[in-house]
Amino acid sequence: MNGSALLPLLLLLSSLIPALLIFALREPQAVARNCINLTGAVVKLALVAGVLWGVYRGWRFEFAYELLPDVAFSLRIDALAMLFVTLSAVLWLLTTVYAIGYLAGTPNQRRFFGFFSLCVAATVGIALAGNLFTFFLFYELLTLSTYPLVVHRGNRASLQAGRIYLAYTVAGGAVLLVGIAWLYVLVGPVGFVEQGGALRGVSEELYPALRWIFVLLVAGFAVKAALVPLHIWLPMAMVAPAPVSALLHAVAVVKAGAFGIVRVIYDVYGIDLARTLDLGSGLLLVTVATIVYGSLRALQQDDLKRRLAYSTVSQLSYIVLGASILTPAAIVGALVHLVHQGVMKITLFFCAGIFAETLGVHKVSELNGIGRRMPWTMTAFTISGFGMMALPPTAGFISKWYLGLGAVQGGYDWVLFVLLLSGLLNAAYFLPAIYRGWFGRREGEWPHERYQQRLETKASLLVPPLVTAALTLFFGLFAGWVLSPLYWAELIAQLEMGR
Amino acid sequence: MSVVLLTVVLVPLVLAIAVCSGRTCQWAARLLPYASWPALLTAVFGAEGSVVYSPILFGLLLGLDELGRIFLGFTALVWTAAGFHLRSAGLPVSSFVERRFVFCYLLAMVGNLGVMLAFGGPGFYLFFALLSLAGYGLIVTDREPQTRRAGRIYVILALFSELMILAGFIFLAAGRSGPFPAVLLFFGLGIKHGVLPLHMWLPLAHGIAPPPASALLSGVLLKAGAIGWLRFLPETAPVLAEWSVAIIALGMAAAVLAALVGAVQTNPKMMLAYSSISQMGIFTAGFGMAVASPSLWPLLVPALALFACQHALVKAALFLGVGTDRAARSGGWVWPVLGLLSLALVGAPMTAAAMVKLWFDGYLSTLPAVAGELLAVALPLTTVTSTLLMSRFVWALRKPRSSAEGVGRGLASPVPFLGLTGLALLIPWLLAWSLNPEVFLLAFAGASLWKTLWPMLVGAATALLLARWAVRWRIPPGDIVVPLEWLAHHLKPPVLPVSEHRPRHRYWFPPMPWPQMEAYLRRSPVTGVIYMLCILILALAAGVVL
Repeated sequence: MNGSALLPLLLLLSSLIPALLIFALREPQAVARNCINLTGAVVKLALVAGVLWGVYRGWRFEFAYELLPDVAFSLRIDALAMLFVTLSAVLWLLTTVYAIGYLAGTPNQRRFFGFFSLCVAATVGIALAGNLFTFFLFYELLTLSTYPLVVHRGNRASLQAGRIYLAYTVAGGAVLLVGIAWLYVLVGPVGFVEQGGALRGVSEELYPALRWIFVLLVAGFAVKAALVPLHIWLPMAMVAPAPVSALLHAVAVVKAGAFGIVRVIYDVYGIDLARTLDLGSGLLLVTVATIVYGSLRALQQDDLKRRLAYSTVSQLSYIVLGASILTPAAIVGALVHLVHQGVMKITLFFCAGIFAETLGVHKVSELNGIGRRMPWTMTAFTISGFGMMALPPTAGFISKWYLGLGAVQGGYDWVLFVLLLSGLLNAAYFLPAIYRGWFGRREGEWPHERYQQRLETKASLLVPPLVTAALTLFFGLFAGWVLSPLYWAELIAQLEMGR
Repeated sequence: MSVVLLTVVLVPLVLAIAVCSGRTCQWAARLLPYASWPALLTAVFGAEGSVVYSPILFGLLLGLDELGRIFLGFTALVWTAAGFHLRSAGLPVSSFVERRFVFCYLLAMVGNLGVMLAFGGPGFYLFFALLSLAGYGLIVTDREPQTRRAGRIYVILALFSELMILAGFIFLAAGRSGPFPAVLLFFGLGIKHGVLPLHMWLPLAHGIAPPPASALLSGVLLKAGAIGWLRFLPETAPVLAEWSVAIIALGMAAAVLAALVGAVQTNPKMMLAYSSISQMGIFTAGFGMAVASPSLWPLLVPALALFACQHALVKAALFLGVGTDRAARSGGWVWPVLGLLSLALVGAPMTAAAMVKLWFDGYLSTLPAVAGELLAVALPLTTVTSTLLMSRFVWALRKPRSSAEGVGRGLASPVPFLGLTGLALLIPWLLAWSLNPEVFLLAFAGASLWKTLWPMLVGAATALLLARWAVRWRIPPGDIVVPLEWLAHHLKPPVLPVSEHRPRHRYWFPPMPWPQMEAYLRRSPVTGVIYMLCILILALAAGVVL
C-alpha cells in the first residue's frame, strides 16, 4: 500500500478524528473544541485542494481491504466523488464557523459538534465509497449521526421530528439493503465503474430483475433525496438549529440521496444500460411531480425555514431529473446543480438563521423592512433567492440552462415547460420575501433584537452567508472558468459518456 | 476592443456598488450622468467587431456592429440626459429609498447598455434580466397602493417575459428552429415594448414612475426588446415569413387602438405611455414587413433602427419635459417645445418619423397583397390617431401641474430637457441622411409633404371636434388588465390542504417511553457507546446478508 492509497482514508479521517477528539473533551472546553473543529476543516480543505489537482491530472486513488470474502471496504477518489467531497469540505468549514457563533453560550455543544463532524465524515465516506456495500455503510452512519442533531433542542417538536426522521430514513435504508443484496445475489459484488457502469454487458435474462432492483435502490435513496411522497420528514426536521438545517438539509443528507441515485444510474447501471432498460422515464415523472408539488407547498408556508425546506424538496429533484434524462447536457445540469443547489440553499438557511437569532424574525410576513436593518444579510438572501429563480448571473441559471437544454435535446420539450413553471413558482415564493425585505417598512420594534454592534450581527454569523452568496454569483458569472463547478461537471459528463 | 466593451458595462456597475456604501454614495450620485459616457464614446468611436469572454457564462459574446452602434448610441444619450435631469433636481442620496432608487437606476443602465452589445443568447438574457429586475426599482419609489399595483403587474409580466425568452434561447441553443422558439421569443421580447395583448404593464408603470424613470422606460428600456427581435428572431426566420401578415396586423392594431385608448386618458404620462405602445406598434408592423422575405430584411432593418432611434429620443424628451420645472429660468420654453416634439413624434412632414413611413411606403408593393393593402390604409391612419392623442396631450399640459414630491420628482432644470430635444430633432435627421439619402430627400418633395400632412390635419380636426364631449368617457389605464385582475381575484386556485404531516403518523408507532429514553440518551458517553454498537451491528448485519 503506497502513500497515495492513503489519501482517501486521510480525507475521511480529517473529520472523523476531530469528531472523536471532541467527544473526548469536556463540555466547557469550548476553545479547544473550536480549535480542533476548525483545524480539521482547514486540513480537509487543503487535502481536497491537493487531491483535486491530482484528479484533474487524471490520477485515481483507491483504498480497499476485504472485510469478508467478496465484501470489500473500498474508498475511491474519482471525479464525481471529488465534486461532492469538495462541496462538503468547503461548506463544512463555513458551517462550523457559523455554528460556533450560533451556538455560543448554549448547552450540549460537545454532543452537537461531535456528531456534526461525524456527519461530515459519513458524507465524505458516501462520496468516496467505491462500491455499493461501502456506500450503504456510510449511508446508514449518516442516518444515525444526524439524529442527535435533529433532536438537539430536546423539546417535544424536535423529538417528534426526530422520530419521523428515523422512521423514514431507517425504512429507506432497509429497502436499499434489500436492493443491494438482491443485486449481489444476481451479479456478485458491485463496484462503481466510472465509464460505462458496473453492469455493462450483463446478460439480457437479468433485465426484468434489474429493473426491480433499480426501483428498490432508488426508493431507498428517494427517502433522503426527499422525492414525493417520501419527503415528509424534511420540512418537519426544520425544528433543528439553523446550522443543521443549513448543512444537512442543503448538503449532507439530502445530497447523499441524490448522489446515490446519480451513482446508481451512471456508475452501476451505466448510461447505455439505463437507456436500454428505460429506467429514466418513471423517475422523470416522480421528479416532475416533486418539483411542482414542492413549489406549491412552499408557496403556502409563512414560516421562512419551512418555506425553504419545501423549496429544497423541489430543487433537489432538479438533480434527479437531470440524472434521469440521460442526455449529455442534462447530466452536466444534474451534476452542476448538485453543487449549485447546495451553495445557494445553505446561504438561504444561514440567512434565515441570522434573522431568527438577531431579530427574532421567523416568518416571511415579518420580513418587512429587514433590508434596512440588515443589508448584508438581505443581500446574500436576495442573491441566493435569485439563484433559486434561476436568474442570471447566478449559479441557478447555469443549472437550469443545462437541464433545459438536456431536456430539449432528449426530446422532452414538456420538461422544459415544467422547469419554467417551477421557475415561476420559485419567483412567487421568493420575490415576496425579497420585496418585503427591501421595499417594505417595519412598524415598531423587532420581536427579539440582539447583537447591536458595528456590524449588523455577529461576524461569525455574517461571514459564511456572504461567502456562499459570493460563490453563488461567482459560479454563475464565471461558469466558463477552470475552477467553476460547471467545468468539473462537464469533465465528469465526458467521462461518464465514455468520450 | 475587449476592454472597451467591458468598460461600457463595468463603469455603471462600479458606481452601483459605490452607491451602496454610505461613504461613497455622494460622489457616485454626482457621477451619475457620466456613467453612460463610455457607452456614448464607444458608440461614436468604437471599432466594429466582436469578442468572446470565455470565462464568463458559457463564453460571453459581446460586439459592436452597425445596428448595435445606433441602438447603443441613442440608449447612452437618453441615459445621460436622464442623469443630468435627476442631478439637476438635486438628487440627494441620504435616505435608504433614494439610494435604492439610484442603485436600481445604475443596474438598469448596466442591463440596458449590455443588451445592445450582446450578440449571443445567454449574454443577452443576462443583461435583459438585469434590466427587467432593476426596472422594478425605477418604477416603485413609494408605498402607495397604486404604485404597488403597477409594480406587481410589471413584475408578473417581466417574469413571463424572462421565462419565455429563456425557453426560446434554450430551443435555439439546442439547434431547434420552428414555431416554438419563434413564438416564445416574439412575445417574450415583445412584452418589453408592449406587443398586444401583453402591453398592460406599460401605461401603469409609466404613469407611476418618476418622470426621468418614465423617460428611460419608454425611451430605451423598450428598445431592449426591439433589438432582441432584430438580433435573434431571424434565426427562426422561415416560420416568421409565414406569419408576416399576422405580425403586421398585430402591429397596426396596436398602433391605432392604443392611440385611441390613450386619447381618453387624463394623466399626461399615461397618454405618452399609450403613445409608446402605439408607436411600437408601427415598429412591429415594420418588423412584420422585414421578415416577409429574406430580400426585404437587409433593406428594412435600417428603417427600423432609424424609427427606434427617433422614437427613443423624442419620447424620452417628452417625458423629461413633463417632469421639468416651468417656473425655472427658460422654463417658458417648455410648453412650446413639447408641442414641437409632439409634431416630431406623430410624423409631421420632413421629420424622421415621416421619413420612416415613406421608407415603408416604398416597399408596400413587394409585400403579399393583403399586407400591402392593409398598410396602405393603416399607415396614414396611425398618423391620424397619433395626432389626436398628442393634441390632447399638449392640451392637457397647457398649464403647469404641481409635481408630487418623491424620488426624482424634485424641480428639475429645463436644460437637460431642452438639450435632449435639440439632439432628438437633429440626430434622427443625420441618421436618416446617412442610412438612406433618397428617402431623406423624398421627404422634402412636394408630393410627400402633402402625403404626410393630410393625416395630421385630419387628426387635429378630429381632436378639435371631439374636444367638447369625448372627455366624458374614460378607459382605465392598463385597459384589459382591469378585467384580468377581476378574474384573478375571483378565480383563486383551490388551496391544497395545509396539514399534511400531523395525525397520520400517530398510528404508525407503538407507544414508547421516548421522553425518558431521550433524557438518558442525552448524556453523550452512553450515546456514543450505543452509537458505536449500532454501527457495528449494522456493519455485521450488512456483512452477513451480503
